[in-house]
Amino acid sequence: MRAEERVIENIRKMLSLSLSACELLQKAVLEKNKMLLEEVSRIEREGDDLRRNTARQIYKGAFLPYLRSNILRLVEDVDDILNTADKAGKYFRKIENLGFLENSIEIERILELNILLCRILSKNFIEFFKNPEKLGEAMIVVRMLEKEADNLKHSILEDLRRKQTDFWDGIFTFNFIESLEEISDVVEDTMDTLQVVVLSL
Amino acid sequence: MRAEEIMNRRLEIVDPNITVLEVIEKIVNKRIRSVLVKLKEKDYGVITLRDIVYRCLVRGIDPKNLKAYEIASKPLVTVEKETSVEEILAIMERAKIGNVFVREGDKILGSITFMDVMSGYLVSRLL
Repeated sequence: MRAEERVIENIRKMLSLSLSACELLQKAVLEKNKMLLEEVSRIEREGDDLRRNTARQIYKGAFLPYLRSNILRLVEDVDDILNTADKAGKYFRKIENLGFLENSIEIERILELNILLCRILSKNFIEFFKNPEKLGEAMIVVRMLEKEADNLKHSILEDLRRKQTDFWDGIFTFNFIESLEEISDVVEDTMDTLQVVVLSL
Repeated sequence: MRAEEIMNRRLEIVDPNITVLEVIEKIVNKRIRSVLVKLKEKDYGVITLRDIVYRCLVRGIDPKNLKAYEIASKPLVTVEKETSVEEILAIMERAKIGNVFVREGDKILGSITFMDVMSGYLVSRLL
């Protein structure tokens, strides 16, 4: 396998890990099973290994020099999806009163949107390199879904501010919601970087 | 694609006696496009931006002086959760509406707008 192919394969693996992390995060939150979040952290560390390995491949000479910075940025963006999922999981673990989850269709929907976004990216990643038009179409969809996640976050925060809660639970719940929504932001950033890479090839 | 696959499960239900200004505040704060007005037990009306503009603002009525039930559209146009998107679009076209509700028996499960249909189609092309 050529060095370039190894890099692309590593990024594809990282995207697949992102999807697994978001699916596990959903399961952990909906089942209120904080033990599952250990696995999200493990996946995040696996992603770190892949990021370091990919950076080494690029350092050793994969891709033409003018492409390397953008490829590395793409790797870091994908790694950021994993970091953000892990961060959301860490905040969730610290929340003692999980009452805000009762009947929260909006939180469920953000969790679903994150999975959908990672699935779109993971499933079509290789295809995007061959078919930039499909990438353009996917960018529209990702922007649309990201906006929905952003609207949901504002709606959740609007409801939360009317609820009485313990100071620390309030902070951790706020940070959890922010991080949960941030996953969709990072996926959008990843798509932007991917577009620059595809256009430069 | 079926109704339950693309429906939006967020439903904001408001009291019929709140003012239209309060409805506007709800729509803006919650970043939504419509609210359900609970008229009686299991009897709902809907207020969309269209209702607010045409039945209140354009007529020069102060939204503080109008109650939600006075501008709500009723009865709700509903479809079963198994209804196909093609059927839903035909209903929307026939009734000249941009919003239908998805039900299971007496229970309202969610709503579908043109945005949900568009999003559903685009996402399905990528998965």
